[in-house]
Amino acid sequence: MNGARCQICQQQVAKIHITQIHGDQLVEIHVCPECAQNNGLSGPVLKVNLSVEGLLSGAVADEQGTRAEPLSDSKSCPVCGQTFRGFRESGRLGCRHCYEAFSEDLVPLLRKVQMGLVHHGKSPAGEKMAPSPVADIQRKREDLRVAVAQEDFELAARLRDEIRLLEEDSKG
Amino acid sequence: MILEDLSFQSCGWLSGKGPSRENVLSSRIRLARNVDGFAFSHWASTGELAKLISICSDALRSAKVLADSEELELEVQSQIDLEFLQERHQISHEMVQSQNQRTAFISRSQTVGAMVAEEDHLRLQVILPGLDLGEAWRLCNSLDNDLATRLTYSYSEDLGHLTACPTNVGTGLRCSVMLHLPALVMTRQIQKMIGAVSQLGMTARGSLGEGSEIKGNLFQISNQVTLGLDEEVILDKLAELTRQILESEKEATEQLMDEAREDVLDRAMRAYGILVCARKLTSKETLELLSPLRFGVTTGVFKEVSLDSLNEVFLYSRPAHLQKLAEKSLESKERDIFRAEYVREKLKN
Repeated sequence: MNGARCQICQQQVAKIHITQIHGDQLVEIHVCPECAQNNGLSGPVLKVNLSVEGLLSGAVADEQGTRAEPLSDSKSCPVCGQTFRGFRESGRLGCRHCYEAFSEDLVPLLRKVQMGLVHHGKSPAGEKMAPSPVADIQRKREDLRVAVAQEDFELAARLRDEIRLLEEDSKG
Repeated sequence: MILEDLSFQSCGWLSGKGPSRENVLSSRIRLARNVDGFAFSHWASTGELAKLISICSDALRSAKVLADSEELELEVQSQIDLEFLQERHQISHEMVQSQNQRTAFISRSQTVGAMVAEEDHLRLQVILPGLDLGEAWRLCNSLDNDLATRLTYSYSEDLGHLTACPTNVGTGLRCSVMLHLPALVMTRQIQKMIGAVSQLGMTARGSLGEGSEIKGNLFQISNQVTLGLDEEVILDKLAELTRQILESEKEATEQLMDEAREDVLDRAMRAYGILVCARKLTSKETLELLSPLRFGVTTGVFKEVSLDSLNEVFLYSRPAHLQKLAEKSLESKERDIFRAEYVREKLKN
């Protein structure tokens, strides 16, 4: 579908392909990111392939749907010069130091798309990173948030108890 | 060689005989890595990018699992060759579109590879036939460990592997399976399956990955979360989800075979009829007709063609493959005619 036109505005290139299922029929809609946003194309569809840019701009919006403050947009990385606005538009950071430069704005995004804020996988040396007590608590808090969102209250209660125990342990 | 060898066997991830091949076309592992001291690919200067490619290529040339691989400078390849590599899942759409210097390493079996100067400096990839995530991970992890002794990765204790896009940060791991699920679609249970996929932090896409449409009842299921879970947990979640989906597909197939065997055969025969008689076939139509035919073959109601032939048609009916077969550039309408000729020939024999 490379180069196919948006079915709404008939002008821009369709970058979002939505497939809905009606009975055993697959119905496809091809739209550009702008029309997708303007028409609220989301909800109970099989799949909404929002672009990374769309995902990111959505993820940094607050609960009322307002975009991040323009102040954040003007922030720039002291090492590579990438701006937060540039990141928001392209979905890409300029260098590793951008993670620190934009950390305040990246945290809400990471909370939304990831399962916590701490790496649990392998290190370049091939070792698996053992979570520190603090990281463990942080991870369980994230799990708790997900469990509550999914209305899995049994798991949420268990996680709450585990967090309480870990917090007591860490206080000595 | 990869650009000259048009045999189906050269495409190991599709021609090989992997587990659960009736429903699982392939299993793929991808790791995103960046080299410390360089800006991310899209932000790096031309000089920086050249130096980066040189360093990464040196490391990749020494990697054991890539010992028999071919190195391709992508900026000197034709558009058709780039699209051919994309159709073989060896390079990404971004690598086809980019105007920058960029390199790809592709193993002889076309199952192990690496893209250099993609969105991230390195995208390591293993793609195997059928359901074989464990082996794919073993190979990709081995390549990653090997490279980590030669390169200093961009890595932080807190966030793990640092990537150009924060949706890959942490493990940098994207694992996926490509599934053919006709029975779940026919029995209208697919929506429930999609719901389970998203609840587990996974996503369902079209067979060509991000941004692609779902066609021919082919679904690519992959993880979304890369930070906060370790690699084994991510892989186990996808493997377990795939097992559940395949179990549901099997139950739905049994139900259809009990209650609608004639319908399954009828759909397969009709699809076969069009595929071997049509004088013009679009790419999309071909993919959609292959689905009921494949279902007929995997359930054993239709025996006239083999699964291998269908996999071959699935690959060679794509635009760049057709143009490579024709040895010339073809306009869309010309391709539809050539595609119909190719499919007819392949399925009749």
